[in-house]
Amino acid sequence: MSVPGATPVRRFRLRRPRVAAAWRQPLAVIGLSLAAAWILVAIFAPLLAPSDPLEQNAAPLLPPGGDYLFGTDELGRDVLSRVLYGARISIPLALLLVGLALLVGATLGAVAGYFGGFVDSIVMRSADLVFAFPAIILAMVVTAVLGPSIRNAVLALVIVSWPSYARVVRGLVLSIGQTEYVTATRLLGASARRALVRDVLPNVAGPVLVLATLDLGNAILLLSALSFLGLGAQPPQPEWGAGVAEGIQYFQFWWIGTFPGLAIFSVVLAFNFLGDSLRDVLDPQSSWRAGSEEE
Amino acid sequence: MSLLEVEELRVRIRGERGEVTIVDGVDYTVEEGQVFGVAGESGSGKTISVLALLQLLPRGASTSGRAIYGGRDLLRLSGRALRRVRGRELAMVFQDPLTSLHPMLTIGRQLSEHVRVHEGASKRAALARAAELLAEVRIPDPERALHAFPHQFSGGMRQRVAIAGALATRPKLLIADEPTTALDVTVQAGILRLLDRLRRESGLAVILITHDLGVMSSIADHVSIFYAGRIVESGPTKELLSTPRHPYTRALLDALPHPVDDGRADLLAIPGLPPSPRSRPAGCAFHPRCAYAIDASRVQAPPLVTVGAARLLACHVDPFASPS
Amino acid sequence: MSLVEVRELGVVYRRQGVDVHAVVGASLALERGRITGLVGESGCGKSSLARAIVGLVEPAAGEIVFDGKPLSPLRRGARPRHETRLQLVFQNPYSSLNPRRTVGSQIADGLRLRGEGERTDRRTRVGELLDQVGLSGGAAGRFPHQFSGGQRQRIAIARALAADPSVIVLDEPLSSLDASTQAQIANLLVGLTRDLELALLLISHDLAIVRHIADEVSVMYLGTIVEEGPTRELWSSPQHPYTEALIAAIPAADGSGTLPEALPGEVPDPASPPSGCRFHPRCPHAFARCPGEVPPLYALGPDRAAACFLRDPASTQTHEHEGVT
Repeated sequence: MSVPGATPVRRFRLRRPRVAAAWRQPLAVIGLSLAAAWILVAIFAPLLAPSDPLEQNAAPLLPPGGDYLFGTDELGRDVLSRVLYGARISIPLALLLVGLALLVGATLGAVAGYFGGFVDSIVMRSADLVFAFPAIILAMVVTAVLGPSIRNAVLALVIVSWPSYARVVRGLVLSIGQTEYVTATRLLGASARRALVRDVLPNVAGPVLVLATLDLGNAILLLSALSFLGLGAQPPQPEWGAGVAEGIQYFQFWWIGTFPGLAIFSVVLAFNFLGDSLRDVLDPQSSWRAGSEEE
Repeated sequence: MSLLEVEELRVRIRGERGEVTIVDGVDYTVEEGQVFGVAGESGSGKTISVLALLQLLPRGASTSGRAIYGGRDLLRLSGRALRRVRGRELAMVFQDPLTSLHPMLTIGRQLSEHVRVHEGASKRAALARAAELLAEVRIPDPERALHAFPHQFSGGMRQRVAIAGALATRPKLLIADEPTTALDVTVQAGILRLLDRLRRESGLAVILITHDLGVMSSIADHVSIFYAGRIVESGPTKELLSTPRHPYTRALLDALPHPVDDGRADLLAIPGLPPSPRSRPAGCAFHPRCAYAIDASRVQAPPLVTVGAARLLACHVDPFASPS
Repeated sequence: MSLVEVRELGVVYRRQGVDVHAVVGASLALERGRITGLVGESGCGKSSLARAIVGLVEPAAGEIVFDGKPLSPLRRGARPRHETRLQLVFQNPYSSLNPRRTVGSQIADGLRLRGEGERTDRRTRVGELLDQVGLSGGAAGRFPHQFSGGQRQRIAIARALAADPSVIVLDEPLSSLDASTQAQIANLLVGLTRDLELALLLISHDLAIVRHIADEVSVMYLGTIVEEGPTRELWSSPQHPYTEALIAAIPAADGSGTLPEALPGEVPDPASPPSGCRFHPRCPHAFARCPGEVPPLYALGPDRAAACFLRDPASTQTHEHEGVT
């Protein structure tokens, strides 16, 4: 039952010496530091922000500089504080949303791959159905139906993002399930379920982790897009996408939209770099890892 | 003059953990019409030492030494001169024939293209020559085979087609890297007979790389035994295999199951493992596995010296020296 | 009674909508303390037979009796405990070990699943098993990629031994190894068979190694067993033309410079086997009867049989036990 195509995934492993090698990759370092910086900002926003993000305590539409580093918006709120507080909305929500999508998708994918047949068809056809629409359009339809709110936006995005996890996990469960080491475990007397838990899932974890990291950036982007369209975060929340939308209305005051936009840009970039380097770390075929310690 | 003279060939490959010497000073000569065997276990550098001749090494590899072919040093050739030699005068067949056959083109198209590029023949003449080549490697019904695709042939037939492709440019030297390793024995025998006939009929020289001393014994005229990047023993096949002088050669032969020998002695396994190029022992690289090693073996690598007509040996001890 | 009896086994799989009969009416018996070799070239069905014998493939015909009980094919649930004493070792020690689990934990699986001992007892037992296959106990804490091919094959054997097997089927266990390592593993297998009274089925395309270590040999061609007998006799006087051709095709490393004999043609596609005797299109001795009838295995004295009309006792063509030519 050994399938030639199954071999590339078989050597995923997370081991400390490998992770250390990531430091040789400048992109990994940039991604990691940027992501870490943003997470710290999200945690310590109240300490870092000069003022309350909702407080209308200054003259409106002040340009950057002076007391207000990023200027103020049309209601006299500090743009810097709004951008810093924005991290408290986007990053935790993106984590939550990716976590939920991963949980739903991975479970369904594992179930589909394990049981096969009818269950597999149902799960995978539903995934195909979701894949048939562009993610943002489908998410818009879902939020429009459920009513615009940040909670519904997250829900909508979970609905559009679970299928990629389901596909990856199902594929891995199927291919790893046919490897000789799983067969060997079965012959030692393990049930299929036990082999799934002990031998298959640990090998699935690596690729799924990479996918999730790459997806974090994507989630932040989609979440901002929904808010930009007015379907996600509602005023006066300092959400980045909503900030960009405000900036469009006051186009001549460039700072209102640009700074939230740059925030989205840098977070998305950070998680993409991180995901890419994670893939390299976990991929035994990558060139800078060549030559493992054979005895 | 010899067809090919290799002197002091060294190949280093730069890896993640610094430079590794894969081939560590190898000399040999190949005569016209000779089947020159290169034997050794995996990691011995036997394949790399031959790929180096064609400058077909992976990136990060550096080569030193000389390989004189037709008055020129193959290791120094570049550009057009290299392509000329590589495509026309030296040809290569691999363990997996599919590496040299295009899956989407008919056999006829592939073979005739070789012929046209190298001989400037017309399309029709090239196709006729392709059919001739297929007949030469004993493909049944060559005319029909011209219209077939590689996947329509079995493993043995594909290897024949790959050999036909290598012969298309009438090379003087064919490099065959484990050409029969993936084949069944009954099919392997056919390929060996084919190589033997080509050598006899057209004076083709063959460098045959294989780990299988049985294959070596059946068609090679001369064998060099590689161990840890060096030649440890070489000589005419018959003599070398019947009276091996190096402890490694002897151990290798003792470890081989013999197809006809009767009686049921255990195979004499060589203790330990062949060293990886990364951590080759000092002195004679075989000393940790050798029952005959002396102090000198641990310190200094023995030079490859002449020990009889056309026989070379690299061993401080020479425990199996003939009494004469 | 034999530890394993394979009776008239048939294995069929579907390939592109066509039924391929990979194994047709194969019978085998494995005995305690003996190594049975099963040789044949690629596509002869030997791997299908191996998988069927351990229960990985459901037979399409015939039956497999292990230790007196019919073997049940493996389904989603755990194997019945007594059947775990029937183990398989794979060809490729790189794909048969889980890269993400330590060697010790994979070997301990066999013990755990048999419900054997406490954690510390298991650790001791893993050490013993590693020792039995010639590795140090320190290997337990390491991962498969830290070992060479030969060492990994030892680990795979240790894992099979953890199930306290009475029978081990080995599917080409030596063919991915270097010559010197091959001999080490071959000797290990012989030693284990004698010490632990195992029944071994050694499947290989390498006749020379089988000749060295097997007690009995069955020769397979295109899904059927064409000859069987004690190793030495089979080698010295092969009774089936295919066996004879196989032996003649092995090049000997004796420096004699003799070219091995080639067999014309190649193994046909098992999806459309030749009529009658499946070997007849390549057989130098084929005659009128061969394409029309399927030759049965004719018994030729104790433990010897060959499926060739030249050996038909009722036929005038019989050449009594003198070799084919």
